[in-house]
Amino acid sequence: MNEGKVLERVFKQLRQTEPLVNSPSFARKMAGKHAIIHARRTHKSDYWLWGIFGVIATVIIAMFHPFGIQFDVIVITPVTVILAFICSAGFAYASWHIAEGMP
Amino acid sequence: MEDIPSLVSKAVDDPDAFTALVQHYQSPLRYSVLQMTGWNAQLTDDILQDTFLKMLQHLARFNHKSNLQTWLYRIACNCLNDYYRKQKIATVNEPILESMPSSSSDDMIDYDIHRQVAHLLSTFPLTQRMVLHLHLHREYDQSEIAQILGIPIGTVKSHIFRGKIKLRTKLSHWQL
Repeated sequence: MNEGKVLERVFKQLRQTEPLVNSPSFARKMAGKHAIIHARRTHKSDYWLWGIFGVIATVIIAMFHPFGIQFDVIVITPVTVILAFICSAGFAYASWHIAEGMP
Repeated sequence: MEDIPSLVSKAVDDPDAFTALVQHYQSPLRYSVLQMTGWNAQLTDDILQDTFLKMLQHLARFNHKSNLQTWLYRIACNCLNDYYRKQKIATVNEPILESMPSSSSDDMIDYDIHRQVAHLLSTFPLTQRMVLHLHLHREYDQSEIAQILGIPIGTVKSHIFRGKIKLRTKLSHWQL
């Protein structure tokens, strides 16, 4: 048998006898990865919403609080400080999620 | 099973559609990566995981003009290139058995020949081994291989020509 025919026969045999090398555990693992990625995407948008909500809430509460913003005079109170901290934490958490990106 | 375009459109948000795609393409892709890594199961698992995650990441941008399997091969080959570039190794340093075992069992021969060819291919440069596998086993034409690997068609032709000569020499004493 010449060399050329050996090459053809080897690859013909490979194609005809190619085994199924599926791994059920791999498919399950990938399903788990999909769930994690999907959850991260959802949380990412959630935290942006919470951050925006926090800013709006801070402004509204500060406006109506008797010791808060009174028309054009800004008065810093413990309540506005705490709300500002919560908003900053919300934004920081959202930024962390975005910076983390896709795995 | 639903048709592939329908699964592709749902896979980003639907884990069942994504799992169905993984199950559909896993076996041929795993086999090809095994052939390209010298039948290294652990490395193949890592490459496959990266491939499917990248598929998920970019699926929204996938245009249905090209075949999904061809696209997956392209991603897998890029992952392999990245891996070997990072590791700075071009070949798998495992003992190479160039002669076929003299087993009388057909099953044994069938089982062994896949590993034997994978080990044989692992002595070739990475690009050449990918070109040879895609050409000789998957029977892709030269332009498709050039598209998958992102190299000029002339380079593909050159790899096929030189690779076949080397393979013929190495296979010349195999008994089939």
